[in-house]
Amino acid sequence: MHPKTLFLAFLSIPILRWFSVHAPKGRIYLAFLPVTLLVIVALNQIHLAHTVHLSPWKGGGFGMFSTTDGGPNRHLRIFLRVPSRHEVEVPQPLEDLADRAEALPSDTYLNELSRKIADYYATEFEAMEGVQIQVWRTEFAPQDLEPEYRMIRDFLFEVERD
Amino acid sequence: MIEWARKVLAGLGQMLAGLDVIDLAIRLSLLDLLYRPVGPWYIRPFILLLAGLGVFSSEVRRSALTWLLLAFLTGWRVVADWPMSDNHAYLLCYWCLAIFCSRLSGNFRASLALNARLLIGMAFLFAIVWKVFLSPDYLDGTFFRVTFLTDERFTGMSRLIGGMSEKAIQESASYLEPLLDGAELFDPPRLMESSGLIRFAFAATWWTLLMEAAVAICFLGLGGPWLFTQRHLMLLAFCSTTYAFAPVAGFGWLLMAMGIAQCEAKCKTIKNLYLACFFLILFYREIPWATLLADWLNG
Repeated sequence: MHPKTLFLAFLSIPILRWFSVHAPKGRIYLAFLPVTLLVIVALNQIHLAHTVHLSPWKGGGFGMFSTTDGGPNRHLRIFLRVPSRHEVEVPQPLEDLADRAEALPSDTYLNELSRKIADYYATEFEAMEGVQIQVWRTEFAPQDLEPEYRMIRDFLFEVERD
Repeated sequence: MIEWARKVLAGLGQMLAGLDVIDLAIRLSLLDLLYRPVGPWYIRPFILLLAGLGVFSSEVRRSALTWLLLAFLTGWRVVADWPMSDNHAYLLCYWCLAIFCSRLSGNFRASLALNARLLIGMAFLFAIVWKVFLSPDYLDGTFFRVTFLTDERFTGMSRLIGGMSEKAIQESASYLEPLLDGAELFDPPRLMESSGLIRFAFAATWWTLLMEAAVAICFLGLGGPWLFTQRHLMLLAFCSTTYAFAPVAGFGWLLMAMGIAQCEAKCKTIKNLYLACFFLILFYREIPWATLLADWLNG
């Protein structure tokens, strides 16, 4: 687990203990269920943001309006290996999945997206050997806001041949 | 006319005085669900039906089952949309769950008030943690400088307060979108950022940070008893200013409902201020006041 995640986990302990003293009488565990869920989801979001580049805006960690790393400042580049590289657009039926992969570029989403892209272009590019997906984010220089692309994931999916 | 206004105000005063804070908090939560329906098409009708019935029927809104179903449906929405849901979708789910749990707790009012405090406090604490410790580009003002130039929802503000023209905003937005593979245009766009916009971004950065920190400290009781008693004013100040700029009315309405849930019955003024702020956020959402004002000022 990332050190910052551990630090936050420890930070929440005294706060929750303080509130346990002031909890209403009755079924105390019920009173703390929603906030416990909030803390677990938020810590998991921080963990995912540091390990698999989950966008800080997403995932329930309350990182919205804190960074430019989200939405329009992330994008995908998709290349078909046929066998040379041939760049293609995200097919319209796969846009929803592409948005998810952009926000959370985990192996699971990138693998699923690659497989579906390979299926989509299978008839057009019969010699396809693989699908490469790159996830990029735009960063801005603090002084003059000069934008610069930085690749955060480079994923290669090999097409299995029958 | 004056007589009519007097009657309306008297009637409004009577109606507000008769509203129970917890019932009001729950009704506003249901209105939030109605005003800003959430979820994919196969979830939305059930949420709308339950919320609509709850607004009109006290039996429905007092039933624990209603809130269990709403917690389930709003949670389902978060799972179905993973990871694309906005943060207030999570908070909405926690709040529905909090109402359900409080119904079962044996001490509904105290449990709901505690949940509201904890949820607001922890949500703001995590927002502060992201802005101060985890984000690489918030404290230096980069986030708001970029957002004011690229997010169309803030264009009115950039013109009104930042003194930017529409053309300058468009050219700056093009500058902030570089071409792929290092390609360059013959006549590349330039950053046309006014000093007013830089000052506005700096003010927005620190105002948001300080207000969110104040809300977290007050609601979590980390700043002593006096600050704890000021928590309502902090939340009202945050919502009445932030949601004039931030296009996330659903979050604001939810915070208002959660704020009211903590009011004591005798705090009529605070309750009324929360209610007024709820409708102020509705005004902010429905009227593009910044754009209209900027258009008017620029002739």
